[in-house]
Amino acid sequence: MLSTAPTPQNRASRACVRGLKTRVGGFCRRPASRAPVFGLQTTKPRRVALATATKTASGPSQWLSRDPIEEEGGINLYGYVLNDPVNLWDSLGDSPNGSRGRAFIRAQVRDPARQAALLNDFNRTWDESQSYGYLGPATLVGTLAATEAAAVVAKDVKVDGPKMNKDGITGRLCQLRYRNTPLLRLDYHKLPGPLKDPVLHLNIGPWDGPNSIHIPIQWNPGSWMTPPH
Amino acid sequence: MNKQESIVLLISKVLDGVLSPEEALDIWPADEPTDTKLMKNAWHLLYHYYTDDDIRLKEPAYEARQRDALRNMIEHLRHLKKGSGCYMDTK
Repeated sequence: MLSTAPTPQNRASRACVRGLKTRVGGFCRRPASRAPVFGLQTTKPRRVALATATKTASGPSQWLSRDPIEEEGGINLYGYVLNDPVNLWDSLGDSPNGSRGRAFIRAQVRDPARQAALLNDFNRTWDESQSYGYLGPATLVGTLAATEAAAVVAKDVKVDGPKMNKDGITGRLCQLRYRNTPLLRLDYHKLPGPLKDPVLHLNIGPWDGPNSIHIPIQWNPGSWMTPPH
Repeated sequence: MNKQESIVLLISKVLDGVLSPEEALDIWPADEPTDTKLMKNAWHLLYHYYTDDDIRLKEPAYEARQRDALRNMIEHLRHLKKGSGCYMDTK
């Protein structure tokens, strides 16, 4: 049911538009710090805050908005739902022209260079993804989002290579750090205890304090290919 | 001075620059059957400090991180906190 009456929701909408000045049709973009939600609104406070004067639906939790990326996805702002925003929606980005997928990438990826690279990948593989059927585009969007999530993590992950000690035998083989906190480390050196020979072992961190794990790896070159009997 | 206090003194000297990590490991108290897991972890932490000089040269933040870890270890040794983890050595 559509309404143009001056309701509290409408006043909230106008306040939203005045405050952000980024309204596109029925879509009011939210600050970057908040998680983007396209197509669906499920929480009542957000629905009130973002409600528009004419384009709300009381029944389903659904936005009847024009394409948030405006004409970039095509001149038809309702093309992503085949000109039927009342009965069709596109919350997963599997729109006929891929506009939602692009909007998803733009919203999720802050780094401009990374965003451009992902959009290039998206455009390049879009036609190909259609051949996978209905789930193809949605799968692609999910893959891209996962890729981006991995990239975010990768920025904080560092891998240190091998470093031998002065004896030329013992030392660090590799180490994985997350935000400078060592998490995994493969070492070859003597351990505290009665054994005097170096031991290949895995450290599982963080090992700042008393809680750390050191697992000796009994490596026997002749036995690793032999299945246990 | 017991062994735990000796270890605290050694690590403190490394942090103060009086001893190098390698020198501290060389004069580290001998292993004993009564050694706690915390003592072994302290040795291990200092060994990592010794081995990771290449990373510390490149990344000052990592050096600060490692020095903080050594300071934390000193605090654990001084207060004899329980819960020394699951150190699996080769005994």
